[in-house]
Amino acid sequence: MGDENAIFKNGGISLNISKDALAVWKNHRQINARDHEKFGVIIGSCSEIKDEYWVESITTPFPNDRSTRYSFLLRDRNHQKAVDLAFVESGGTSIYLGTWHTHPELIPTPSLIDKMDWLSCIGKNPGRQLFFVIVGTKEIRVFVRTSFGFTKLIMES
Amino acid sequence: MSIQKHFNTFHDAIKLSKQDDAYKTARERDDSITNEVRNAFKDAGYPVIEDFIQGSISTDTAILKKSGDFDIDRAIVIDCDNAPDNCVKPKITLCENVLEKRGFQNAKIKKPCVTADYKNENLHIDFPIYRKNGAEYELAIGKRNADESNRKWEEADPRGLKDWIKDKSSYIGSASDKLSQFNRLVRYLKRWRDEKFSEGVAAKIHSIGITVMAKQCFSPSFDSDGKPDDLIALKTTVSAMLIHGYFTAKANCQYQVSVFLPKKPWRDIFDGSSVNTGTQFRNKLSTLEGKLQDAISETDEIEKCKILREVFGDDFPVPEKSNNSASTRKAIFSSSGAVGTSQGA
Amino acid sequence: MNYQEIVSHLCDQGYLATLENVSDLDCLVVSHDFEGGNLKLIHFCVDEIDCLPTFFLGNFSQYGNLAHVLPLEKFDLGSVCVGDQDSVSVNFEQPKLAFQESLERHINLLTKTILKVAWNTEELLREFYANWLRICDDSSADFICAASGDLEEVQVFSPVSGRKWGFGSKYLGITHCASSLAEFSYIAQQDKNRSIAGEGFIIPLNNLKPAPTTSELLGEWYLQTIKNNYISSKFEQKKGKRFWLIFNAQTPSGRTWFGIQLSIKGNGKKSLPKNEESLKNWSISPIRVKIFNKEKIMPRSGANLGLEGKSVLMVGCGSVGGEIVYKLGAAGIGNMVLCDPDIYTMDNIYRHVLSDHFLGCNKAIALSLELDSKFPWIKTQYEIRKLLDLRNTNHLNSFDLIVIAIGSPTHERLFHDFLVQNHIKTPVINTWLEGYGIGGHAVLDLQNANGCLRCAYVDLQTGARGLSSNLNFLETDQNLTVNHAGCGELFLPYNSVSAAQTALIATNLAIGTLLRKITSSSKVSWKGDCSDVVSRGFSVTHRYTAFDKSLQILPLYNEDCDICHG
Repeated sequence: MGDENAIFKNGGISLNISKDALAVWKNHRQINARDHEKFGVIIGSCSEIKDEYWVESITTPFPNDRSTRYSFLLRDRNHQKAVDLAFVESGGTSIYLGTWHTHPELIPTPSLIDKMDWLSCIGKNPGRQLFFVIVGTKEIRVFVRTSFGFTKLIMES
Repeated sequence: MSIQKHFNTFHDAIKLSKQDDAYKTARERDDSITNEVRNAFKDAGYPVIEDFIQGSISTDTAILKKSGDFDIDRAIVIDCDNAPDNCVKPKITLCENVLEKRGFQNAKIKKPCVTADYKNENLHIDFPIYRKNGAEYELAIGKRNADESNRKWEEADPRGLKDWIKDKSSYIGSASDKLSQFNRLVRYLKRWRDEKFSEGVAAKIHSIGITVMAKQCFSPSFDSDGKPDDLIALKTTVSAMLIHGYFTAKANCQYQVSVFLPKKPWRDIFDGSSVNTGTQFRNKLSTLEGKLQDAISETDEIEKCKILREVFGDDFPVPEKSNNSASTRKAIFSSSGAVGTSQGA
Repeated sequence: MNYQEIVSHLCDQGYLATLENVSDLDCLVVSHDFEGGNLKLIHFCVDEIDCLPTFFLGNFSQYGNLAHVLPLEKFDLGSVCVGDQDSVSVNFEQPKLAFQESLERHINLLTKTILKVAWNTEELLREFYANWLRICDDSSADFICAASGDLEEVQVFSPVSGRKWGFGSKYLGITHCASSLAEFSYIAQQDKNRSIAGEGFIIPLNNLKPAPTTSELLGEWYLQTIKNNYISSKFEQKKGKRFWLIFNAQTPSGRTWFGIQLSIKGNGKKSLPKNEESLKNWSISPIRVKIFNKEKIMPRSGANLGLEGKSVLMVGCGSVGGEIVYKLGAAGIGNMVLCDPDIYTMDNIYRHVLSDHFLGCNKAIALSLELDSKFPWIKTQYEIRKLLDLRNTNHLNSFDLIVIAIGSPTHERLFHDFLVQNHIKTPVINTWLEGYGIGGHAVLDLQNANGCLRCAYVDLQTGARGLSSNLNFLETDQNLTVNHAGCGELFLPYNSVSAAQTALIATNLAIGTLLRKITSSSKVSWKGDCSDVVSRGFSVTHRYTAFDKSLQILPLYNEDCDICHG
């Protein structure tokens, strides 16, 4: 994690995660028994034909957010502000690409609450391809919604 | 882009067929010389009763040589009743009355055929001469001055061999597509040979040998949609070639290669070949198998192509890297997207 | 059936069970004490158990109104509903276990209804409609009501005399508000010659009492209901011989509609009875009310209200297209434009959904008429045009979905070129079938998503653009058509099952797309039997041989498609 970009793929879609974002995730892993869940939104762009997506930056918890070791609530307006700023500065190419959060497990799997939240994120952004990242203590997993439910992207080695 | 598409590009670059523009001169020369042969043989009292192209052009397995040379294999057939007992006679007729008259300095009578080169046109022609008795063919074997014990009309089956190579009756379902895949594999293997062996050794690994081996070991591969997968097919075919029994182990990790013609005269195509040829052939084929497996295991398109270029040479395409965000045109959106509140557990 | 064994098993389990004779019938009687009372459960002996053994509740009248328990007339028994009998799989090889299981269910349910009064009331309201139907006269005509449910007057029309089925066989109630609704015009146009039966009122109830258990108790129920709910004084003062009161009320199972009819005994006109005394002048009977509005009918009959606002352009109204529009209509699509230049002829009869009285009619017009009369809330239009005549950007962008079922790969690819060049945003489904029952295909092209129609046309052998679809199960360059009468009379042999099956996969894609359940370009095929194809000497593709994903929605994207990868 963190030395170079990571590419995740599934069928016709690939997600290229910048090493900066990977470094942030590495630092936010829930390794200690008292670490709370960390989370934020994913900001990035995509190719014109929408087959390649790039994670450019991510946000981390702000003061009005809440979290415990096993849950979080992302509600601080600063996440939206960060997205809007990136959108304006990029000339309309950088957008909200989804959310990320940590799990205190080696290889993370989404809970029912996670999936329901993701569905609501998709509902708020009709027509957009969103990605949902869970950072485990060992592996990072990226999920997208397909016709077959939420499926994980495969990391290119 | 799929790896198959790159194989298709590679195949387009190396394949040679009679209709290709590159083959135009060869085709014209072939037609005009064949006409003269017909006239000369008529005058000599053994008129040509049929002629046909044999060799890789006729079996759709010809490739462009890296040297740019073209080969023509034109079989000349005379009737058995008119054929002289001395089988070298028509060969001399052809050599002296046709080729030398046309100014070929280097026309030569070789054991199985008469050959000549168009020096300026990179064109090499071979004329095997047969006599035909009913449906049976016999090839004129013997050099110019061969005595009776060194010359003979030898049983042969040039058309049978051609049909055997082009046979698709044993391919169940999508037979034409499978035969096309076989043809491509033979071309890949021939280009691999030209690329990986020294000129001298390559000349000893006869195309017909590769073709017969590939035919006997061919394992077609298509995905469930019916899209060919030449990489897998080649790998499994090569693996089968290695264990089929063509290579006999000798002392000191050396190998003797032998491949028998599947038709008359059933002789060993590699008859008289050295253990050096056999050993190199076997070991390089084994290396090829490993590289193909590497290419199969590799998931990155560009890396895959790089491995295959190493095997097949520069005609195998390697696409430009386009995977970074800077070089690709980006989509522009009308809004930044709604974050809202989110929760998780 | 060995009842001795069952009795001894139940006794072993701690029940007080005996075999008795009640009203000359052999019975298994179980007496069960519970906190605050005793239950007497009676099972009438049977030869064979083909469902969960039933027990009746003895001394039924002492318990009052119990949810899930209905009186058995003449006897003082209650019939207990412990669940959907048909859906329980019964262990008939071990009757004693089935009896024990059933007994436990009965006791659990009955003690709950008796002890938990609030739950009992809620359950009684939940099953209000079913209980109301029980007291209605089976032979009387239903009352169909087109109304929103607010307090208002309703005009009531009689059934058309002699009519045994259809809307004409029912009473019809129409309110002032409803006469502007689509449903009104739909029902009204079905039968125009109705006589006025009387008038009545739509009365929403905020305070619903459980339904009376017998028709004798209806009068009492009525008086209490009138007392506890608001009825405008205008209605109260109205005088008449016959009134229809159409109630609606919120119950735990949704808004329930039901009604009563009041007819005066003798002559004269009177206002609505409000007490026991005035009620004596009226005869009162319960009626079944069927509310006719789309919020009720569409979900109940299998349509999705979420599709009502959607607009679909259907190009090609042949056997496949005809099946598709029927299925889309049944799914609840609100707006459809049907396009086809062809006439419905005798050659089509057996594989087309249209009936023969449309022979000679344009297929788009005929289907439009059929759909309008079949689905109350659909709005259809037709265009007598070919696919290539539809190349108009604004027109195409105005739809939520375009479905193409014309079976012409050339036209479909040309049309696709137009869509790409003009950045049309509407999703497109192309669907076609192959002859001889070998299979059919549907391709969903979501614009701005990976995968397009051309992905289904990539020549798999060369990776270049192909002329026929790589989804096909029959090899190209075979003459598959049958020539019956020379040029212009060629046809591809297939039957209506193939057409319907193909329509199903296309419709599934269509609905999934419109409900945004399918968000990526997809393909679906169904694979049929190849015996007809083989016996005629045709050859099948590699895909046919290898295909094992019939009906599954698969990604459309082909990595060698030059349009997706331009």
